[in-house]
Amino acid sequence: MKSAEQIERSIRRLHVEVDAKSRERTLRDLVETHTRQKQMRQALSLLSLGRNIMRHKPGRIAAAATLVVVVVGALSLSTGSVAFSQVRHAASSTLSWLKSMLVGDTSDEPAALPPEPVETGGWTADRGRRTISCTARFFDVPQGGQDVQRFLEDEGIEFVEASAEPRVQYAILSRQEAESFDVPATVRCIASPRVMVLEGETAGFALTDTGKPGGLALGWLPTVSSDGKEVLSTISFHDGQAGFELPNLGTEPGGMVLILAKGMFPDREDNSEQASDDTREVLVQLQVEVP
Amino acid sequence: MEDKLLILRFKRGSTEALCRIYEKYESTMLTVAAGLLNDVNAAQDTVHDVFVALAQSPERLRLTGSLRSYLTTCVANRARDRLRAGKRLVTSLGETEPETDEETMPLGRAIRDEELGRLAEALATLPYEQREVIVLRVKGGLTFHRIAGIQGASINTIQSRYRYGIDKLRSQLNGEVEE
Repeated sequence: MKSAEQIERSIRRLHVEVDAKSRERTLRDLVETHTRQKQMRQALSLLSLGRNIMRHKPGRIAAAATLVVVVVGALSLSTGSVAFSQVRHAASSTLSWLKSMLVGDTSDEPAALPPEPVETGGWTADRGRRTISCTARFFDVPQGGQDVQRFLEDEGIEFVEASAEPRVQYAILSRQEAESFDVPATVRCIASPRVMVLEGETAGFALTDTGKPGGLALGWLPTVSSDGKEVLSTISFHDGQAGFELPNLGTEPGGMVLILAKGMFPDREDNSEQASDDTREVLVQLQVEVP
Repeated sequence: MEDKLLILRFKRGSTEALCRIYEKYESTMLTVAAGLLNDVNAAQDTVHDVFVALAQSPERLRLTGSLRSYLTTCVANRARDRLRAGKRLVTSLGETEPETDEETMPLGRAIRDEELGRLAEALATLPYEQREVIVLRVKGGLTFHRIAGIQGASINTIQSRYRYGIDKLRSQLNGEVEE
């Protein structure tokens, strides 16, 4: 007859060994997951301008979205000079960084790390680089978006086609136009962060869902013309799947860049009926200042 | 003490500490999961999911007891979720057996020792709540109080389930010996 104690002792002796294949798979997944998590944390630790938790559900992008403003990288540019190729190169590396920030993709270098500083052809960093501020406003455009398009056209704002797939248009507003510009009542502001960077540095904005991959990330790299009358902004966008760049958009200080992006930010977890909706539009407004 | 250091290093970003935690507790957690699910393959997936979830959010790791208890609780919760999901699947398929890609491997078959194999088979016949109390208490090292929290029952109920479970195991195993 076995006593209760003997039964307990026997249960303690029960032992199952993990097979080598399963152990290897788990260890590999652990390292990958933890590395990705660390990279995300590293990116978030670069926060120099705060972190805002969105309180409202921003359309179909996310149920609980987090807006992160990150200043990354530094280029060695002379004051007032615009190194187009360098700026473009930096923006390109920003694209992959933005993507990796959104989806945690570690397969492409440099993963979730900020873009590497670019070669500046022997130029030296100038301590006198100017500070440029940017107030970004992200608007959720109702489905269809024709009303908004018409409204903007009625305002005399002419959009330039920047990309066909995804469809992206932009317009540049002078200081005077920007001062009188107001968005139509039908669009809803998702987020309105403000960032200040030195010229030649990249600021990253990421609107992400904490629960699923994807979202919306924007990189902004400004420089100032030698006479100080023009700010050149290279703007990169990524939604985790597709990205595009708008290189060297010139605005006067106080001016504004408006971007209408269509067909980006699909909710990948939606059913096929909803996922096929490619008419979703987002309006982004970037107002730059040289304080 | 070692666990506290491992947790500290893990929370500071050490992947090596995470792997060490896994290697230290993989077998215990696998045995707990296999005891609960009576399927070693499903248990391996459960343990995998528990550790990957841990790797995803080190900041959420706030221990009130030992690391072993914490991991055991995670395994118990995952195992319950898995069983519930399985039941839902069975129901949705009209009370027929669900088709699964993986073959099930009952705990009794995975244990080479004949006597322990019989014990594992007897364990699998117990009602889930009794089995859970016994496995979590004896293999997972959880207190009755903590198990009561997991099952949402009073300590007296948990102790009764434990006693009934052990008695059933005794009668089953002793019955076999007498035959």
